[in-house]
Amino acid sequence: MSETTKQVEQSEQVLTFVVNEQEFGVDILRVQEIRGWTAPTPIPQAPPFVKGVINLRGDIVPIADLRERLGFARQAYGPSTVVIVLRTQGATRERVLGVVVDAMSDVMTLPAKDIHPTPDLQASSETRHARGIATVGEKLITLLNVEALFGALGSEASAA
Amino acid sequence: MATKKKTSAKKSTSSPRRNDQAKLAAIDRAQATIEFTLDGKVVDVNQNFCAALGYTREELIGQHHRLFCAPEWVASPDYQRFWEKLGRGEADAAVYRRLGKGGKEVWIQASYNPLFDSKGKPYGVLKFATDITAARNAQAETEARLKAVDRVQAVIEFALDGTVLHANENFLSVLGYTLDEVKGRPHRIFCDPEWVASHEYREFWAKLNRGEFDAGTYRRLGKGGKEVWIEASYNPVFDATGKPVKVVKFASDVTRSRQAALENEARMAAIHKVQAIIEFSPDGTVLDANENFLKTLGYGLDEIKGKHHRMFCEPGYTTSPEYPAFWAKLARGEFDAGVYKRLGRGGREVWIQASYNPVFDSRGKVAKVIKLATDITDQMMVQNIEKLVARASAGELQHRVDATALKGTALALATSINQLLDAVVAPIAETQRVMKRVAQGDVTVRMEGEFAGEFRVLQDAINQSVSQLEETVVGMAQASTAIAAASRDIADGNANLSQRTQEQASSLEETASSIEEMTATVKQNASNATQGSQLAVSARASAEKGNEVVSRAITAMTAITERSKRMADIIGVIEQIAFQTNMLALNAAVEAARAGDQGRGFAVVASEVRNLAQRSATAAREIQTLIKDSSEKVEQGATLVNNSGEVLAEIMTGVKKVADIVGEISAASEEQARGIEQINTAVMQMDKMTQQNAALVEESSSAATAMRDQSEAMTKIVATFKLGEVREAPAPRAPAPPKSAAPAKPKPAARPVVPAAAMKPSSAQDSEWEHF
Repeated sequence: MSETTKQVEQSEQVLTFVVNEQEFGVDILRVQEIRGWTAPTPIPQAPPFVKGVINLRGDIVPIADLRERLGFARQAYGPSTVVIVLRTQGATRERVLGVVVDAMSDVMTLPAKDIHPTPDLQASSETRHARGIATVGEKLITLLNVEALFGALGSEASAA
Repeated sequence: MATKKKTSAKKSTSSPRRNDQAKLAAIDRAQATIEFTLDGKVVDVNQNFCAALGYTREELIGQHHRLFCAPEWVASPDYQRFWEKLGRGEADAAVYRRLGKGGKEVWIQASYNPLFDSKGKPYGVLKFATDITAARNAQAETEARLKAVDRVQAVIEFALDGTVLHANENFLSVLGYTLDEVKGRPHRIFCDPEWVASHEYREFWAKLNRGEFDAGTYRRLGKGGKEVWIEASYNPVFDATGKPVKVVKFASDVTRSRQAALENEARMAAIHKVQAIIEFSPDGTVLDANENFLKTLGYGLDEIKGKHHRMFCEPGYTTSPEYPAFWAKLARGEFDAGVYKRLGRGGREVWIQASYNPVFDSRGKVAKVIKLATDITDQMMVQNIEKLVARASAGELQHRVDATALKGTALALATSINQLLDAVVAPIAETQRVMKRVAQGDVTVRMEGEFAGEFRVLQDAINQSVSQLEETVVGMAQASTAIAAASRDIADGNANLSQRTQEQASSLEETASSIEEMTATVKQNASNATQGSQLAVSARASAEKGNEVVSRAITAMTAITERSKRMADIIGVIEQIAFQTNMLALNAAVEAARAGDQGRGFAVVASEVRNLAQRSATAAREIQTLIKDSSEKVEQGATLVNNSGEVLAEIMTGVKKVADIVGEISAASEEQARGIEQINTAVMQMDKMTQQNAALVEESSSAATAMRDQSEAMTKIVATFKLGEVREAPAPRAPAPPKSAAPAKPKPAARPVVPAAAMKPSSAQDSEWEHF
C-alpha cells in the first residue's frame, strides 16, 4: 500500500470495461457513477447511437451506446450490461452522459510508463477517440478520449 | 153257646157239673188250650199248648197274644179288628199260622171263644187249638209231587168205561190234541182201529175194571193218525170201599227210541243178507252161523254146530302158537279184523275179509264172539293174475300162473295167459341172443326163426339194423384213415401258426417296451414344459419388478432435474448479487478516486469488496457450470432409464410369449401322452388277442392231436368188429391200383379184422360174402 501511495504521482487511475470483448478504460475522475441498465426514454431525431434519456436524480441525462459509437455491431443488452455515467468537459461547462458498455471490468492504477500514445493510424478521425493504450501484463487497454467521442453531447452538469 | 157253657162250667167247678168237668179234662188232655183277657194277655195255658209252641207255662203267663204272631200281621189293622171282634163277644175259628219259640213255624186249627160273665158280658177269651203242622206239611209235599209228575209226565184220567175225564198239557202236546178235543171222548180214539176191534182191547179194559194194573210200551195214534210210542202205566183208582172208580194213566213219549230200535233191527237184517255171520263161544266153539256163512264154506249148520273154529283153518296155522294167542286176544275182549285164508268143505281154499267182534254180557265179560265175513276168494284170484301181469309188465317173463289148483273158467284164463307169455318170450329171447352178439362186435349175426305179425316186423327191423350197422362200421373203418391223414395236416398247420403267433407276440412285446420308453420321454417333456412355464412366470414377475424400479428411477431423476433448476435460479440470484456488489464496489472506487488521498483506504476496501464480488461471481459461474453438467448427466441417465424400461417391457412380452409357447408344449405333451396311452391300449389289446390266438392255436393243436388219437381209437374200435368183408375206400385205393391185389389192406388196423371176419361168418352163415 505504501508502495502504491509512493507511486501516486507518476500513475493514473482508470476504470476499465468491456465492449465487443475488448477492454477499454476511462479516467476514473471522469466517472460520476456506474448503474445497471434501464431502458431510457427515446429522443426523436437523435443520432442512432443515442438510445434516449434518463432522469438521474432530477438531471436529464442522455444515454449513448459505446458499441455503436465505436462502430461495432449492435448486440442485445444482457444482465452484465451497465451504464457508466461520465462527466465531460464541454465548451463552457461540464456535461453529464451515460455510456452503455457490455460489462464492467476493474479499477486499476496505471503507472505512466505503461501508458503509450496511440499510434498514428493514417490520421483517421477515429484515432482521436483514444487518448492512449495501456499495457497491463499481456493485455492491452484502450484509454478513451470521452470529449472527442461525444463532443457536445450531454446535458450540462448541475452546479453542484 | 156250647163254649160259654163249658167255660162257665169250668169256673163253677161244682159237683153237680162233674160230668162237664170230666169233659173239660178230656178236652184239656186232647187239645191245646189257652185263655186270654179281652185285651190279649195270657191268663192260663195248658201243657198241650206249651208243647205245641215250645214254651213253658211260666214263660207265657202274662205275655200278650202277639208273641205268637208274625210282626207284619200284628202291625196290621186286621190284628186290631181281630181282637175288637173277640171283645164284642164274637167267636173266630180257622187254620192259623203262628210262631213258636225261636220263630218256629206252627200251623194250628183253632177256635177263639169269648167267655161271658153271669150278666152275659164277655170278660175273656178261651182258645182251643190243634197242631196241624205235620199234616199240613205232608199235604204240601204230596201236592208238590203230583205237580212234579204233572210237569214231566203225560197224565190222563179215564172213567172205567174209557171216557176221558182229564188230560194234562204234556199228554195233549204228545198227541197233538187240545183238552176240549179229547174230554168226554172214548179211549179208543188214540188206538189202532184193528186193535180196538180185537178181543184184546176188550180184555184190556175188563182187566182195568177189575182193578188190575197194566204197564208197557204201547203204540198209539195222535191227532191226524200220527204214530206215537208211549211207555205208560194204567193205574185204577179205588174209592174207600176198594171199588175202582177211575183209571189214571201216566205215559212217556218213547217214539224216538222205539224208532231207533226198529232201525237197528232193519240194519241187522240187511247185514245178515249180505254177510256171512258166525257166532262162537269165547273158547272158539261154534254156536250159530247164518245161511251166507254156510253157503260160503259149503257146510250145513248141523255139520258145524258145537265144533271148534279150527276146522276152518289150515293145520299148520292151528298148531302154531299164534292160534291160541288169537283166541286169547278175543277172549280178552279185543277186536280183530283182516283178510284170512280159511278152508271150506273138502279142503277148498276160501279167502275171507272178516272181523271178530267180542260181545260182552251185563258184567262186562266176553259172552261170545261174532264174526262177520265176506268171501273174497275171486278177488284173490284176480289179484294173483294182476300181480303176474304187473311182473310181466316189469319184464319178469319167466313167471306163469299156477293152474294146478284151478278148474273151469279160471283154468282156461290161466292157460291162455301162460300161452300169451310163451308167445311173447320166444321173439324176445331171439332178439336178446342177436343183440348180445352185436354187443360183442359181431355184426354178421341175424335173427332166426318163424315169427308172425308184429314179431315178424321186429325181426325184420333188427336184421336190417344189424346189416346197416355192419355197413356203417365198414364205412367208419375207411373214414378213420382219411381222418388220421387230415388230422396230421392240421397238426402241421397248427405248428406253423403257433410259431407265427409267437413271433407276433414277441414283436408286440418290443413295440410295447418302445412305447413305454416313449411314454417316459413324453412325460419328461411335459414336466420340463411345466417347469419352463413356471420359470417364465417367475421371469415375468421379475421383469415387472424391474419395470417398477425403472419408473421409480425416472421419478427420482425428474426430481433431481427440478432441484437443479432451482439451484440454477438461486445461483442466478447470487450472480446478480455479485454483479450488484461489484458495481457498488466500482462506484465506491470511483468515489474514492475522486476523494484523492483521503479516499485511498476506501479505495482499498472497495477493491477488496470488488475482489470478493468477482470471486463469488466466478464461484457462482462455476456452480452453474457444474449444475448444467449434472443436469445433462441426469438427463442422460433418465434417457437410459427410459430405454431400460422399454427393454424390460420387451422382455416381459418375450417372457409372456415364452410362457405361452411352453404352455402349448405342455398341452401338446399331454396330447402326446394320451395318444401314446391309446396306442399302448391298442398294443395291449393286440397282445391279448395274440395271446388268445396262441391259446386258440394251442387248443386247436391239442384238438388236432386229440382228433388224431380219436381217429386211432376209432380205427381200433372198428378193428374189434367182426365184418364179413372190408371194402376199402376208393380214394386211397385209386393211386395204387396194381398194388391193391398184393398188400390188399393198407390199413394195419383193419388187417387183423378180415381173417377173423372171414373165419367166423363163413363158418356160420354168410359164405356168399367171401370174395377171397
